[in-house]
Amino acid sequence: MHNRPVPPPVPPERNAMNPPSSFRKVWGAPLLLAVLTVFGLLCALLGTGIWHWLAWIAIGIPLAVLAWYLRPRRADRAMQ
Amino acid sequence: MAAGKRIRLWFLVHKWTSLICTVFMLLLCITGLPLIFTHEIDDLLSGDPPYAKLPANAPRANLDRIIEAARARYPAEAMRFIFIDDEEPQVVVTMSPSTDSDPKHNHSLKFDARTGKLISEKPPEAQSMTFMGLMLRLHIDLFAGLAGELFLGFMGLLLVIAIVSGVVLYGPFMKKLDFGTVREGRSARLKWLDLHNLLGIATLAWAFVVGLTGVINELSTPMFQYWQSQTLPALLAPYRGKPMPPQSEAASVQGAYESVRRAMPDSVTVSVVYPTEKFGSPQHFIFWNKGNTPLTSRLFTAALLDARSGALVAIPEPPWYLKALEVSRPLHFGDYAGTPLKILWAVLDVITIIVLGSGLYLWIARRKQTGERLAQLERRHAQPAGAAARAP
Repeated sequence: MHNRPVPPPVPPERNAMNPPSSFRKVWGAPLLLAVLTVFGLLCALLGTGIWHWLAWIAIGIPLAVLAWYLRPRRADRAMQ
Repeated sequence: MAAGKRIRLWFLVHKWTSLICTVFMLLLCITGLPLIFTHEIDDLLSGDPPYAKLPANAPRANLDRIIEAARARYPAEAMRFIFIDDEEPQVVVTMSPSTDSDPKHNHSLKFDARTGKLISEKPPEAQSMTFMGLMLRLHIDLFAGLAGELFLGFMGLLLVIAIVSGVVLYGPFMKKLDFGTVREGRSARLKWLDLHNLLGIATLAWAFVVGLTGVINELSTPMFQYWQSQTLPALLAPYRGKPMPPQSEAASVQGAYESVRRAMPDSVTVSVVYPTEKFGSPQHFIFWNKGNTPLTSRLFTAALLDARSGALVAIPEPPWYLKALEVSRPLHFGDYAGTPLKILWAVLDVITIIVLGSGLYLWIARRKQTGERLAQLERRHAQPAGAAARAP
């Protein structure tokens, strides 16, 4: 959390000209996770072998992301 | 202002659709959890002796011998259907008191597909309900038959609407927050709101797919009835006025099986439904067959054979709605890509339980908060005008 890289200062006029960035900020991660899940569900349905591995990974990623954001705070501090 | 009004409206949709379906969805999530592992639990609880060790290419027993053994055991009863497993070497014969008995009186006999020997028997559901049977009925129809299926299907539809409205609300809620923010240490309500949003949005695609395919599954009874009403009359026309043939005069199932295999070489037969007035055709055996690629192994095609002669009558192309139903089965059950997928299904199911529970908690906490704020306002108004004026 505390070590998150600080974004470089953006000139205000550029920021104002670039409103889609707020859409990406809110929806980027959810869309990516949803696309991964659907990709995984279809891999499992349409393929076998390596596709099943891809399915497990793709469907597992949203869970891994959740685990990362919900990791115990205390351990987080001790690590840094 | 218009945007504010729109958000309020979506909030009301989210609140009411969730409130109505949450209790039932909690039930479905809880009963669904063991159902994901039906196969494993059944194996564990069955207590059946292991299959005889035979070489993989051992010839299969003649189906007619298996049927004779079942009929000899229950001479007064009727054959209903035969399940021919393509994973384990078993053939399961289901019988009941008559050809049109309620399915709860069905009981089954499990045979070794190669030796043709009886392995075990399962009593009818009406006599002894197993744990998994109970989970299944609570999950599918709440013991209320078609009415229960349609009711739970409607609850599933409400869940789908709740998911969509929840996604719409996620935007305004997260405008000033980074993805994954959980505001701890301020109030329990705020923390659970953030958890509800995070867990909900991260699992949204899965919950949407499982919810929607669940609704489609609940419509399977009317779908099959409709298909039957569209397909059967033309096939039954030549038999007008003829009674259903008694099972003692039925054609050889083994012979019928072989002609279906010849006609559909790219598939495997998974079940045989005996003639019945209520649940199929009174004049045909219905052989259900599935393809042998990952996708077509989900799609079942029926072959109808004359019940007396065993002649192949028709292989109707399944309509789009039955294909949709059949593809939505694996997507709902999660049993289509090995144990790892089942485990993922279970974890996602538990997360859904947390999302449902936290949603309920947020509603209760919000009501309490609104109540407290109202009480506060009332107290303030009850104070003398001077005191209120002096308040900062």
